[in-house]
Amino acid sequence: MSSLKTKNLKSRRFGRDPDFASGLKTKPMALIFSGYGLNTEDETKTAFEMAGGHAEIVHINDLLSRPAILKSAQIVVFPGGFSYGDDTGSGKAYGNRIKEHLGEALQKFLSRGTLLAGICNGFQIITNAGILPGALLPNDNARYTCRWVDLIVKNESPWLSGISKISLPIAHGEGKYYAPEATLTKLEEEEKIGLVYERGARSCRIGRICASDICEVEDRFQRKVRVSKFLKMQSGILANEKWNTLGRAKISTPRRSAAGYLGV
Amino acid sequence: MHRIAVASKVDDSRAKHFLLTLRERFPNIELTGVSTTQCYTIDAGINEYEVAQAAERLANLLTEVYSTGGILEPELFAYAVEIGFLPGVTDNVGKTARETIQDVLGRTLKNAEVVYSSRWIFLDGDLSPRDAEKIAGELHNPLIERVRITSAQEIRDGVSIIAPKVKLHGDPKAHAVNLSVSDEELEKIGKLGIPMRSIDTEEERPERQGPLALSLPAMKAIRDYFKKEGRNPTDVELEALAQTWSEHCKHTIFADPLDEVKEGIYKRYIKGATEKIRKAKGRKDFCVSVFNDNSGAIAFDKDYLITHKVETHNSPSALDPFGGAVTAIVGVNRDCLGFGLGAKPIANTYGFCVGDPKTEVDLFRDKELTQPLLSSRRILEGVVAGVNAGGNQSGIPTPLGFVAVDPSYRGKPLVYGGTVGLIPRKRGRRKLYEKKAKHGDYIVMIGGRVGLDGIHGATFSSESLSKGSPATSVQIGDPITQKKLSDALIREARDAGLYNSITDNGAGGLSGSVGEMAKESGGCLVDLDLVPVKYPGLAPWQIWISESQERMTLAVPKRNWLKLKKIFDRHDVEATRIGVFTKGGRCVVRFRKKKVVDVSMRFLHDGRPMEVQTSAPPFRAAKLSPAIPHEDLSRVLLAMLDRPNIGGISFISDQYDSEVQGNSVTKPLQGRGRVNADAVVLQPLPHSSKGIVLAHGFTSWYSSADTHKMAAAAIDTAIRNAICAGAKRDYLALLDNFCWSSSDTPERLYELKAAARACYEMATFYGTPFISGKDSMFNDFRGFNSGGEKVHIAALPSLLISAIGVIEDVAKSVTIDFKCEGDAIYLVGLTHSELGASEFDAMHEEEGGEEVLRPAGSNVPTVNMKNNALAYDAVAKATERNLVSSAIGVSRGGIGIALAKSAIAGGLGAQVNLQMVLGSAQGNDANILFSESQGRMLLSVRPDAEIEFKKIMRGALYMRLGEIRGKELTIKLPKQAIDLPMTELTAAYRSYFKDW
Repeated sequence: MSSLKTKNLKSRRFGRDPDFASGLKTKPMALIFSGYGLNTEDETKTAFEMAGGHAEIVHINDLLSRPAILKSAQIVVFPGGFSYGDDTGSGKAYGNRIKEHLGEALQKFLSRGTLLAGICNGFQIITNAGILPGALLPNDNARYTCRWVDLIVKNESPWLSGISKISLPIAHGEGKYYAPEATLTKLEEEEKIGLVYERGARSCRIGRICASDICEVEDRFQRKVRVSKFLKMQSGILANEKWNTLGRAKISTPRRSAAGYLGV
Repeated sequence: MHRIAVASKVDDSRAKHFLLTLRERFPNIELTGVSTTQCYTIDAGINEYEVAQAAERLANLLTEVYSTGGILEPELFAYAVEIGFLPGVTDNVGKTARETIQDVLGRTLKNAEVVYSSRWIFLDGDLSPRDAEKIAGELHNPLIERVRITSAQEIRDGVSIIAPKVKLHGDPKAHAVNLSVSDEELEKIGKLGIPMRSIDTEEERPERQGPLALSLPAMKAIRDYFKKEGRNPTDVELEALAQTWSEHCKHTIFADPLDEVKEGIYKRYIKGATEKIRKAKGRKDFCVSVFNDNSGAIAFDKDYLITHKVETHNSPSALDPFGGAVTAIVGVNRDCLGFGLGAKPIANTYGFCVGDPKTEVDLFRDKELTQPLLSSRRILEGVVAGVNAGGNQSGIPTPLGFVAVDPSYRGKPLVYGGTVGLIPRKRGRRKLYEKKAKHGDYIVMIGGRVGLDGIHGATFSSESLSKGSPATSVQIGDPITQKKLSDALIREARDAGLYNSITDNGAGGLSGSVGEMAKESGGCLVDLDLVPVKYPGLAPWQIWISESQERMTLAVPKRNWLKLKKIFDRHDVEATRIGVFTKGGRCVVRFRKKKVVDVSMRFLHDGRPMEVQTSAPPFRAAKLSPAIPHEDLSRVLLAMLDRPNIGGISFISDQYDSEVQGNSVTKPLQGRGRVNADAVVLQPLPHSSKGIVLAHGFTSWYSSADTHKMAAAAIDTAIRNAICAGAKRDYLALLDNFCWSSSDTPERLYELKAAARACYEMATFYGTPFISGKDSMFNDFRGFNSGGEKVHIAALPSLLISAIGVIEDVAKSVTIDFKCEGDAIYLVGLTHSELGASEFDAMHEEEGGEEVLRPAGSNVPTVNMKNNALAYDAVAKATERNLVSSAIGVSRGGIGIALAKSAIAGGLGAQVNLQMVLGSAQGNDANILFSESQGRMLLSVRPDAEIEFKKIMRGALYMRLGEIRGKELTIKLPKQAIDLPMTELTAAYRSYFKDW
């Protein structure tokens, strides 16, 4: 809702005013992609504004016709949703469109030491676009799943600094992170895995490894589960030393969990 | 023709899921493995190199492999089953593949260049051809999908490519329909449809265009009108009148006189209630736009309104549950987008009423037993998946809903879909909740294209489901096209003030939307040649009434047209000018330069003759009801929890996104134990602590005894659930959705009148206005059982009441779960001996056993409005002061179930004493525990808040039952004691839908 009054949004209730933003002379600008079925851009925008930044929602077709818009931004976000209805595979069609038409422009953007995040469908998009390694497979229950999970922060990504544990709602049908063994090992060694599930994931069967399961519910899901991730990129595809890209399989923005303060 | 096949090369959980499901379904078939391939059949002028390029993008090479030659069959398998769509059925996957290919090519494909998706499922194991057929039958729906079964050997010999191309024959044009015929023939045309004509000779053929559902008096009115016009009507005119006058669109049964109610029951009891309440509320009236738009709207704060609308989509869901339910939800989303100048959908609700999914009842639509009804299990799975696709893909949270099971829903399921919207009151000086198409405005159609899907939806749903039910009335929604449309509309076009009016293309298609908006300006002139179609060859009447999805109609001033077109182009949404609104008082439609419709607006909308209806009280014999046996009530409580009307539906809540948009405050599954709630709270604006409470009440089982009591209970339940979640009675509005059956019989009309009267009495007493509603009057199935005998299944007269209220502070919302050991448990309200048509009764009826004769209609819960209003206000006040820790409305299953649910949700035990409850149930264990008396709430209160709580509750009838304590639920009854560990109760609650 572009009409929201944003000045009141540095809400006390919704938590901290990050040093990150207050230390800057100008507010950082986040560009949030939209179009073709992405759908969490409004709350993502609100979240950035609550955190003290500026945010703009841009339609992908506007960026295709004027890639220079990227120059005005310090942060790019691919939000969640159902681009192309997940048809032919989640994030595939949108990711291909990004790769074909905006690949270079985004590389240039990232080479400036900027930040990029893919949330939910956005994570699926940026893996399909080749910005992050790996792919997201259908959940083990072969079903779209929405629920709250607890996540543990595993590295020092600027996206996660100051956070050690966070509860968030997840929602997706293809959220099981996959990468070849060698890639996974490398990601682990280089500490590029940002978040792992602590609780809640087992009962929705998302990935492979899960530290524990506190959900006393639904014991039929015997598999161990792994997490999907915030990844920090530093080499390989992006040749970027700053660890600045983040993809998260479920995720929701702080705004979503902020609203959930009454909790489950 | 090309084919690209894509298969997973890593762990494929979807194939595994198929295997598990099929094994469970067919325990006797030796199925050892399942794998799948996704195929894209490309009917377009592209070369091999381009095909290969496309394939690389349709497969994720890290996890998938592709082939442009074969179908990637596994090495070992017995049979392969290919499932694709029938010609003309919406194929969203094919459409996305087409867009991907366009991206690769860097050019736009021609309209006739199409991509079709299909799926190959490879079955391994010791299978007979019959086994493969059975499995294929489980995997597809013959009304919308084609299937071919091939053995491994045949596959090795090569697989042909099937492209389900739509081929329409003949020369599409309008025909005059001769109405100067006998009454008998006139009635036939009205019932069965217009005779088709042979292409060459123009002669009438025995086939007909499909049911018009027009009565003889209506047909006569049409004949007389066209006599005055000096000609016969065209088939386009007749079809359009049938749509406009249909029960589905005009709600004839609610509108026409019924007995002494000359103005019709809608005007007297529904609208009449709202008018009376608004008057009484005076300056506190919160209604803003009720009954005259696509949704009803109430004030949220000084800047915003909230809207709500609930629809049903029953007949299509019976034929294609998935498509029917997608269409239900995206269709009602458009009622939100089509409110005022466009409200933003912020929440969906649902309700699914089906036969018991675990009991197989074979039924057929034809005497030859070749057209089986889908099983209740498949219908439920299908509608659940449909709302999943429609709601999730649209980015709208779906936090609230229910499943109701009754044998009477076996013939035709009820599928409710609701949408809450948010709209600013004003943009600049323009009120966004008002609209008016003006003379000279362009008629602009936005969204999808027109095809044969959804022809006769409106007239079809006005009839009962039988053999002749047309399969073209099935539509599959395309949520992504609609999402794109919605983005362009709500984010840009609305706020730029580019159009004067908007309406959804729902029932009756363009004939409905344009006809409706033309009322605002006074007429219209439409050119059907301009309407974008999915394929050539559609007849003019088909273009005019098709209900192809994802379309809306706008009234756009000439000067804004190019600006508007540009916005929709950028969003990749088709926007087409198809005519102009006029003020001449005529609805004129042209096709190939000839007028095919030219009728007066007045006749179109008001020409339908009133039909006087008469009701008669139904004869109700005294009924044999199960005697209440002396039994172990611990066992009964566990068995009750394991019933689909009571047990948890987390398998649905988990797959519906309730968090998107970030407005969810209280959740669909509450407490650590994740128990389904009957009310939720939303916070639509992040900068305001104001909230919306949504709740529902559905008590249709009581209709078997008394529809007046049923309707009263439904309203009382919806209000009670809302109050428990934190709402107040003085800021609460209602929506009514009647789903009746056999509504042409005097007895059912009598029951309808009784229910409508209850609506009036309840709403006016509680001061809760109706703001919107809908009815579906023929939820009947007429067909045959497996013995070839005729069967008529009439759905229970059903009423869904949805409540929507506004609260000041979402932080004061209350959930159903027990919070803390030591908190006191209170029961508000009286418990009477009201086990009639209860879940307890239903269970014993199913189990058989001893029966007793009870007078008809006895024992069904009766609402005491005065007591309840007092109690609800007191509880709301206590909630306002933060004194209530948890609250749950006592509904299906009685106190026993309410206690169990709150305890399971909290993961905490309780010790309660029910030896001395208030009310006439006193002394009878089963009555105390399972009676469904209305007006009751189960609360928990912190010990330090008890004194203040009691002060506030003074005057209300309530009692303290005990405390939250331990890991068992202990209930003392006059004769028995229940002592069950929470683990056992929790397992029972989760048992019915455990493996769904």
